[in-house]
Amino acid sequence: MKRKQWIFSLAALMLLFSVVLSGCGGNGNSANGNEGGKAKDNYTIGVMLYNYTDIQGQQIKAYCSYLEKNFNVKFNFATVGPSEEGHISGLENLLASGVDAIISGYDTALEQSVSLTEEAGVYYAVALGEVDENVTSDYFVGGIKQFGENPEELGAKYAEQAYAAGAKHIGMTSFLEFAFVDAPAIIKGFTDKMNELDTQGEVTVYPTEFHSFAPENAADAVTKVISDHPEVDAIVGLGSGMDYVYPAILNSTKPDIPLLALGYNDSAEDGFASGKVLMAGTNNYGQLVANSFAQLYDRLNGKTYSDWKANGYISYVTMTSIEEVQDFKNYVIPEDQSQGPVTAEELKSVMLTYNDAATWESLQELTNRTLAEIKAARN
Amino acid sequence: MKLFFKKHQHTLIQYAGLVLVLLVFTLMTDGALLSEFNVRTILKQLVILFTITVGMIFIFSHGGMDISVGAVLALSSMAAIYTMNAGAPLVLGILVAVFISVLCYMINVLIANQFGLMAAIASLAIMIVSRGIVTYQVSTSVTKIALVDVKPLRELGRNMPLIVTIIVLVGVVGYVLFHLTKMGKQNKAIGDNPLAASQSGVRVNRTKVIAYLLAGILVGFASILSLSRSAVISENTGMGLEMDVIVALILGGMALNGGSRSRMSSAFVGSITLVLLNNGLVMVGVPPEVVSLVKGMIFLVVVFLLLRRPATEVMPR
Repeated sequence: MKRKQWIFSLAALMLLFSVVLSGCGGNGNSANGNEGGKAKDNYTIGVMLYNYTDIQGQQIKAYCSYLEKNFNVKFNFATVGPSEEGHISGLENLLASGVDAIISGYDTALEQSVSLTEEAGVYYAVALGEVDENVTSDYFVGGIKQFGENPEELGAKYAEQAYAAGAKHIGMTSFLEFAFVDAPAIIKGFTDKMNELDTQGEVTVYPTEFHSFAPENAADAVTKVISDHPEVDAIVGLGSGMDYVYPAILNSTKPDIPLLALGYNDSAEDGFASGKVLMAGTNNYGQLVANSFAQLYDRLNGKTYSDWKANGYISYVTMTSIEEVQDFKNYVIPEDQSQGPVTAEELKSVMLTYNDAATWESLQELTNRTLAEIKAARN
Repeated sequence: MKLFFKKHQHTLIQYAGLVLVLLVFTLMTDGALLSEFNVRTILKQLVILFTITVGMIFIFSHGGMDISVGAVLALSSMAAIYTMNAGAPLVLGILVAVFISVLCYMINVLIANQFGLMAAIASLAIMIVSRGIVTYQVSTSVTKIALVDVKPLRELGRNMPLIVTIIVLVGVVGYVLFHLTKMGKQNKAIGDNPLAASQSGVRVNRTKVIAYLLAGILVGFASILSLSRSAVISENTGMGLEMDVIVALILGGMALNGGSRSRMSSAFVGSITLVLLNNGLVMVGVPPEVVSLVKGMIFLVVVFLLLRRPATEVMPR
């Protein structure tokens, strides 16, 4: 019995050593990366997201499929965990699969991630957030501001809608600032605009209730707003507004308080119909991918914008009515992406690979169009 | 032949999963799974999980359970960052990380031993407290909590001969301690039947303390290995690691209620199977929608096969 166990253990050990020896035989550091922008017939781009099941993941995947049909590119998707180790492991696995470039959803362990991709000769972009401009590399194409060039302007938009709806006592909830770095700017934009609009001094904006990342944390924040300020007549939910804050209000003692949500889900349409949702908003998924993809594809073809900056920006889609929800469905998340936020032809016109006169700024203009502008372009 | 299979069913199941995953993914990737670059990738990912699972074998084999490993790893990493950013050398950073981890595990076993609390509950308390401290620090820090000088640790995380040496060393020391020392055997005896072990002269509490001490040392060391890859911590550091450890041990054929059938090889087989599985699924380009399903099915098959083992192997008490 013991002898047999030793045989098994020995076999396992030999397997390990054969694997190790085959791995340590050379001294190369490169995966199948595209070194120095040498053009290839087909490129593979890796995508890293927490999941592909929510609307964001689904739409990003759908837009990638559209790009596959219109460019010489294939996408390889990896699901990564939120931890640094999970992120880096996912990144390493994609590098090992031989991708030429990577679109990461997040700036997790940015310095190390950029260092790894640089070693492998693979280009790297962050799609769902602004990046630290101190992290630099020839292989790093930067990040994207999700809430437009200036998040304060987004806050101002929400203030205009709240004021137009006649809200006088406004509560605010948000994810903790350290994890939602744009929150302070959005809140400032909201309060500044409200002060500007409220010339009579009739409107009160209560201090923001910050909460953690579970639905029950958002529910606790809503409860606190309502119990501390029973007169509250509108809530601005910045932390997963539709997914977390909306159900929390509906289950509260004051289910009729209208919500202005930073967030979107299928309940938005009913919410607008019943008047319980005054505003909703979400990322423009197609614009996000288009912005990152255009830069990566150009770099792979050895082209870099002369006016390049580390952080690009896209337009955050806001909706205030059922009609706008319908427009959102038709022009931001359509089944046929050629009717979507950025068509392949539009994108090619601002890519150096196809247009020598293209600029980084022209790419930002294209991927920063509002819902109304996209609708106008399609009609 | 049939008798041979029946007799060695446990060992065969243990290695069959690993061989199957290795073969399937090697074929599906046209050998790219064993490319130089990918083997390096696998080893870099393996060293952390393997180091932790070796430590966890000591806890799980006496019937204990630990779900605090991710949070403790985050706390230890944070302590190491603060230490090294204050100008201390790498060695001191490692010692501090190990000290914090050991401290957490000592509190854990103290709660379990002194108050008769279930090990899982005690580790839950440690997990919440550790995660709470890290989250508080991250949320109140004006800058991200990251190593100022990443070079010494980065070298550690990318030095292949060193990584292989660590894997071999941890494996050999773990094997010797677990299978060839009195402490290891007593640990398994407690897992089989704590009362019988106690009546046979085993000092149950003392043995458990040593098991937690070893686990603490290895988790602390793993936190340095993890830090060598990321150089930064966040509120998410180590998130989900506890589940990875449990899944790896089950894939390695470990009976989670411990006992005399516990083997150190479960740590190696389970860790490498899980790492290969995660790596291979991306290499092959399996659609992300079905990745969890594939992993779940493989996990279910292994659990099913384990459940079909004789009751004495799985539930010895």
